[in-house]
Amino acid sequence: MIRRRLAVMVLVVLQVILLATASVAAAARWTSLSLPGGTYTLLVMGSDMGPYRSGTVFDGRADTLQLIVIDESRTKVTIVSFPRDTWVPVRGRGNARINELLRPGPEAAMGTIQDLTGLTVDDWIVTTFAGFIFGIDDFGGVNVDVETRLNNTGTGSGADRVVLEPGPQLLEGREALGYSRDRKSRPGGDFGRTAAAGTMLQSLHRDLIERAESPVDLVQFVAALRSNTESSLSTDRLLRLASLAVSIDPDDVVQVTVPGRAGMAGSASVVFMSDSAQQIFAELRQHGSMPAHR
Amino acid sequence: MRAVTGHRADRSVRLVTITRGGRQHAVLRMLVGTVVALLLVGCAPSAAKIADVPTNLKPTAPPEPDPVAGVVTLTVESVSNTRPLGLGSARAADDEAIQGAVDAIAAWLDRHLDLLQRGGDGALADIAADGLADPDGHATTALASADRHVASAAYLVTVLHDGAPQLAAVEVTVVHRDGGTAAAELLFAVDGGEPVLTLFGPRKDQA
Repeated sequence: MIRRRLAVMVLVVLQVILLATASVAAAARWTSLSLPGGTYTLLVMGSDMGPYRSGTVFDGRADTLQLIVIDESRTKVTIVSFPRDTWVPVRGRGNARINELLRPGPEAAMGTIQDLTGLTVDDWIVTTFAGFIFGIDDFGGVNVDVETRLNNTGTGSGADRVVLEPGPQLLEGREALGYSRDRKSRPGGDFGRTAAAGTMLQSLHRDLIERAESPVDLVQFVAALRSNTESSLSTDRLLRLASLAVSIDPDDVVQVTVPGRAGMAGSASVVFMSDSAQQIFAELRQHGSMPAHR
Repeated sequence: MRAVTGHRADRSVRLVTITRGGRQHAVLRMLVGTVVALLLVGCAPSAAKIADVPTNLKPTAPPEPDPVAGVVTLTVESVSNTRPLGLGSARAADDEAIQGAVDAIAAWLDRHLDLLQRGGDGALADIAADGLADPDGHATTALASADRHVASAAYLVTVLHDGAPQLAAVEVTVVHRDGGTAAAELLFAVDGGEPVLTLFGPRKDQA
């Protein structure tokens, strides 16, 4: 029985590898222009407003905040994940938790990240709880290797509510939202949740490579993205970005969580960035990638 | 204005089509394109001309290719789905702008294929983004040449709009006079109403 299971697992793994290889090979035969030169950065924000809570996408706090950095060679990607309670100067708000950066508007949000990291932010994209759920469902779900048992049956908006067993599985939109937001089931609390949001992006990247077998397949991805987000990305740039994403090896995508320590700012429980955070930003400014990549 | 066949996918249809049936939908569309193109071969003027050539004449120069007039099948999908973002109602499609973009793409494809079958390099430079070339010939030499005249062509066009057209994906299927077929997929960004070829490659079943 064990041998049989092992054989099935090996077959599944081989199939996944073959599919991914075939798609990357297909992508290599597509012809498109790349993004303009230099390091490219995209600010990805998840707003806690919109349907399921009152207000619009721009009224909310950016509880999920990721900076995607693509190096000049267009082969290495770093996902920088910011814990939402990180205490920093926020444009238009003074010193505040970093998740306040969206409220003065997305352009100001880009400015806040530029001030913090010294990196030029090229584009922004933002969604809501509902946008994320619909987007994942439009995409056909997302395959995630759940790292630990998640069991959050709490109250509130319900966005964090999730019950998942560990292991690889296909998540639908609502489960994917719970996976990305749950901090009560994870040992690292908010740091664990921040890392999970980065893992979610990596998982979406792997699935995109597997599913985009031809240029027209990219249209379904673009439709899912456009329908459920607001962004500064022109259609042309979005297509170039999608095409580039399919050509990048998932092993060349790394995720780093901005390091920090818990503390208090007045009566507010916050996270102060560690000095090592500046080393991460310096690496990205200088090389567009992390040392482990090079 | 070019006659088209097609349908609109409203929000609810689009969700079902794209999420769960996306791959089957794409395969079905490919099959439809191929079948349409093959059916058109039977009624293409060039087919009749070839059959009517008397056999007792001395060999003459190869027949001139007929002008290409591809058949368009259009699907329109809205990406103006602002409700999940709390931003209100979706924007209505600008039908005139969408039709204008589709007409421009079809007219370019007709001209492009015609130039190729007359031994030229096609008209890629007229519509491609600056710097976009075709070293592998997917959008040019694979589709037609002086040795492979076009008997019929089918263009399956999907337009994404947020009111104004944003993106057009085209699956081109060409049937040659010798019965062979060729296909390619082309993606156009439509900014300011003007289609710009941004990405192309072989069709899924040829990749």
